[in-house]
Amino acid sequence: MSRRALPIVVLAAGAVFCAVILATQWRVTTDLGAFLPPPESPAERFLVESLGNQRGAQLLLVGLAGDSPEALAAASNSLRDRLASRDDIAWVANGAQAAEQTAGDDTLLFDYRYLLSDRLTAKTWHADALREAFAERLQDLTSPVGLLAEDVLRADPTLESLALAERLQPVGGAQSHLGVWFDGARDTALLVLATTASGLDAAAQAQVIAAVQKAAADAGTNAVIGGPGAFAARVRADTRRDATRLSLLGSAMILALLLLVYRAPTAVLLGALPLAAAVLAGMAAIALCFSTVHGITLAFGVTLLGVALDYPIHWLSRSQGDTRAAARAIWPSLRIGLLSTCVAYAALFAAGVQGLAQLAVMTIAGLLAAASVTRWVLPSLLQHRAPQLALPVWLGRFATWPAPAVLRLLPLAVLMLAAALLASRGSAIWQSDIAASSPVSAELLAQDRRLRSALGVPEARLLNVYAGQTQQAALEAAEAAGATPLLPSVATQQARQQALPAANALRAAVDAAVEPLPLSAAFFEPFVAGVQQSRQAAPLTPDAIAGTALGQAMQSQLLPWGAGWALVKPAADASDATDQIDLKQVSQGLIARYRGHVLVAMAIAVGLIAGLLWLLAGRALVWRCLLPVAAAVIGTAGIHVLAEQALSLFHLVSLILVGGLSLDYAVFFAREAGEAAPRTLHAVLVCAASTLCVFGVLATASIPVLAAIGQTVAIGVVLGAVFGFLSARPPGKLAP
Amino acid sequence: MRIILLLLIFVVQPVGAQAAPDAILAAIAQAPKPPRAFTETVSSKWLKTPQVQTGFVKLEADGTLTKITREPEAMIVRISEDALSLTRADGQQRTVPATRSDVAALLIGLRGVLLGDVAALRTHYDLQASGELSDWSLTLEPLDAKLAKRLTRITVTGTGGNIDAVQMLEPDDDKRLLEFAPL
Repeated sequence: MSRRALPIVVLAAGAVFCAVILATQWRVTTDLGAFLPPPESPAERFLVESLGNQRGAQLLLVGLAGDSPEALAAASNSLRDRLASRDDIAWVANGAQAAEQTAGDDTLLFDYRYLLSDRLTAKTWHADALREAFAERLQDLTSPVGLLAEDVLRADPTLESLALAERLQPVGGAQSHLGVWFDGARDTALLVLATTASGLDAAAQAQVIAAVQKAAADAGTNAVIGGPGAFAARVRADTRRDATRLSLLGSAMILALLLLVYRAPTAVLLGALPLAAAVLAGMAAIALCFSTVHGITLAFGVTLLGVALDYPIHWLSRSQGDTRAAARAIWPSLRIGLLSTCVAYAALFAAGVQGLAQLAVMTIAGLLAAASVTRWVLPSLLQHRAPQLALPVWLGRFATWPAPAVLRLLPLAVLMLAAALLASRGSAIWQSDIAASSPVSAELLAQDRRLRSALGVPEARLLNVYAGQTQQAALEAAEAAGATPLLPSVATQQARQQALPAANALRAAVDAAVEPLPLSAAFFEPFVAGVQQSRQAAPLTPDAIAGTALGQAMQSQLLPWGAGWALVKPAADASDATDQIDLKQVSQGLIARYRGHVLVAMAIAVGLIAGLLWLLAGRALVWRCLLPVAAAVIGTAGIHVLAEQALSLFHLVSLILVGGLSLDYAVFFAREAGEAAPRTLHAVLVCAASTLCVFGVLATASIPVLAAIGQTVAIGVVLGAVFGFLSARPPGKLAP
Repeated sequence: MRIILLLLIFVVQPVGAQAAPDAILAAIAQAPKPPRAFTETVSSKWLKTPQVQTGFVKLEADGTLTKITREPEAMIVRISEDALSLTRADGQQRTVPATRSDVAALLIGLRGVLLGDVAALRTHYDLQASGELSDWSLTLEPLDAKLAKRLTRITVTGTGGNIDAVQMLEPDDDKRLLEFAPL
C-alpha cells in the first residue's frame, strides 16, 4: 500500500467502525439523570427520576371546538374510542367514563367504602342524616336508575363508593354535557389522556399529538392541545425547523466564503471532512463508553466540535501548492492547540457528572479525529490539487504591524473590566431557570391555562411532601397535616372501624329514618350488613391495593423518599408549610450545581492548559496565549451581562467553545510569526469569518437557546481573533 | 323507505289485520310527537305503597327523551343515545354513561320505541306484537344477559302511531307503569 493510500484506508475503516458502533449501540435518552449532576436531596432525586413521568407530566389536555355541542360530543366519543386502542396512550377520558362507571367496576372501592371514605362523621349514622340520603335513594329507585343499580342503592345509600370514585377521576372541574366533558361556555369539548412515554420525550409526544390531531380532523373538528408533552413536541419542532434552516444558511455562507477565498472547489468540499469525522468519532466514542446519552449533551458536544472547522482552514491558507508541506508546517501549532483543548475538556471528567464526562469523551475523540484527518488524510487526497493562494499585499503588511502599546494592552484591560463587572453583579449573572429560556409561545401557554382551568387539572409545580420512616408513617404525617390520602393510614382506617355503629344501633337508626318515607326498612338491610362487614375487615395497605384503580393512583403519590417514604401531592397554592417543595426551585438548584461543576472544570482546565503550554511551547507563550483566551471568554460574558442577559448553561458551553477557538487563534498568532505571519493571519481571519457565518446566523434564531449559542460564539470569536492578534504583537522571543 | 314500508303495510295487510312489530314501529315513527303528560306508578316490594309520579315527557330535536317529573319531587331524567342523566331539584346531577351493555340496552329500549327505531331495538330485544294496528301491544324481551337479570320485559301498548302506556316488569315482579295523555 502506498504512503498516500494508507491514511485514506484508515479513515474509511474508522468511518465504517464508527458507523457500526452507532448502528448497534447508539441510544439517546430523555432521562435527565443522564444529563444532570447526581441528586443530593430526596427532592432532587424525585425531580430527576420523575420529571416527565409524573402523573401530571404525562397528561395531554385536548379541547375540541368549532362545531355544535352535539357534533363536538360525538367527535369527543369518536376520539376517545380511536385513541384508547393506541399502545402509546395509557388511558383517555372524556367524561363518558365517569365516576359511576369506576364505581360500578371497582369492587375494592365498594367493599371498603366505609374505611376509605373521609366524609363519614358520627352524624352520618343519625336517623335524620340517613333519612335525607334515603329520600334521594327513593327518587333514584323510582327512576330508571333504580332498575339498573338497585343493589347499589340498597347497600350504599350515602353513595360513599361514588364519592370515592369521583376522587379518583383525573380531572376536577369539567362540566358534563351531552355525556361528555365541556368547558363552562359549552363551546369546547374536553378530553384528557395520559401518554405511556415521558412528558419530556418530545418525539413520542409529537407522535401522540399527531394521532390526536388526525383523529380530530377525521371527526370533523379541530383539536387544541395543552400539557407538558404538547410543549415538548412544539419546542422540538420549532427548534428543528430553526436549526435546520439556519444551519443550512450558515453552511451555504461558509461554502461561498471559502470558495471565494480559496477558489478551489475540491479542496473546500474536502475541508468538511475533519468536522464530519469529528462528529462521527465523537458520537461513536460516547456510544462505546456510555449506555445512553441525553439530547442536550449531544447538542452541547456538536457545538463544541465546531473547533474542528478551523483545522482545514489553517491548512488551506498555508498551502502553496504542496499540501503535505502545509500540513507539516501547521502541525506543531495545531497539535499544541489540540492537546491543550483536549486537556481542558478532560477537566470536565473531574465534575463527576455523567453528562459532562460524555461531553469530554465526545469532544476529545472528535477533535483527535479531526486533527488526524487534517494532518494525514487531506494531504493524501489533495496532493497535487492544492490551491495556490496569492495573499493580498495589505495582509502581509498588517500581519507584521507593530500595534501601539495602548492597543496591546486592550486584552488585559477588557479582561480586568469584564471580570470586575461580573464580580460586582455576583450570582445575578446566572440564569438558573431553564423555563426562562423556554421557547413556548405565549399563545400556547394561554391555551394550556384555558384547558387546565376548564378541566380542573393543576400544574404539577408545587408539591406537598409528607415524609415518614415507613409508608404508614408517611400516610399518618399527611393525615396529621390535614391532607387526606386516597388510601388512609391503617391507624385511621381502624379508628373509622371503631366509629362504625353496631348492627342493632344502625337498624334502629334505619327504622327511624324510613318511618315517614314510603320505603321499607328491609330495603336497606344490605347497608346494615355492609357496615358490619366493614367493622370486621382487615384495613387496606398499599400492597393490598396493587393493580386496582386506587393502587395506581396511590403509586404515583406514595414514593420512596430519602431513607423512608413520602406522600407527594400536587398543591394548588403556595403555602409557607415546610413540607412544600417547589419543583422550579429544586430544578434551579440542580442547574446551579451543574453550572458550578462546569465552572470548576473550567478553572482546572485553565491550570492544565497553562501547564501544558509551558511544557510544549515555553513559558513566554503561556501568558501570550492565555491572556487573549481569558479576555475573549470573560469579555464575551461581560458583554452579555451589560446587555442584561443572564447567562445560562447554553451560554456557558458556548463560552467553552469560544475558549477553544481563541486558544487556537492565539497559539497560531504567537507561534507562526515571521514569514508565516501573513498566512497565519489569513487563516485566522477566514476561521473567524466562517465561524461568524454559522453562529451569526444562529444568533438570529427565534428559539432563545439557539440564539444564545449563536450570539455568544459570534461575539466571542471576534474578540478572540482581535485579542489573539494584539497579544502576539509585542516583539518577544519567537517560538522555535 | 318508510313510505314504501307504509304502502306495503296498507297494500298487503287490510286495515284491522294483526300488526307486526315493524308495522307498529313504522307507524310510531311517522306520527307527530308533541310533549305529553305522564303518570307513572311504581310498585315494588320495597315500597310500602305504590309510588305515583306525574309530569310530562318530550322528545328533543336531537333525539334525547326528556322526562320532567313535577310531583311528588321535581326531577328531570334525560335519556340520550349514550347516557342517562338525572337532575334533582337542588341542581345535583348524575350521569350514567351507556358504556355498560345493560345501560346501553335499557336506553335503546326506552328511546327506541318512541323513535320507531326497529333496527336498534332488534339488536337488543326480542320483539313480539299482538293486536291490530289500531290497538296494539308490543313486548320487548332483553337479549343482554345482564339487563335480563333486572328486566323481564317492556310492554308497550298503543293505538295507531300513538303510545298509550309503557310497562316494565322486573324478575321480582316489581313493576313500573307509565301512562301517557295529551297535555
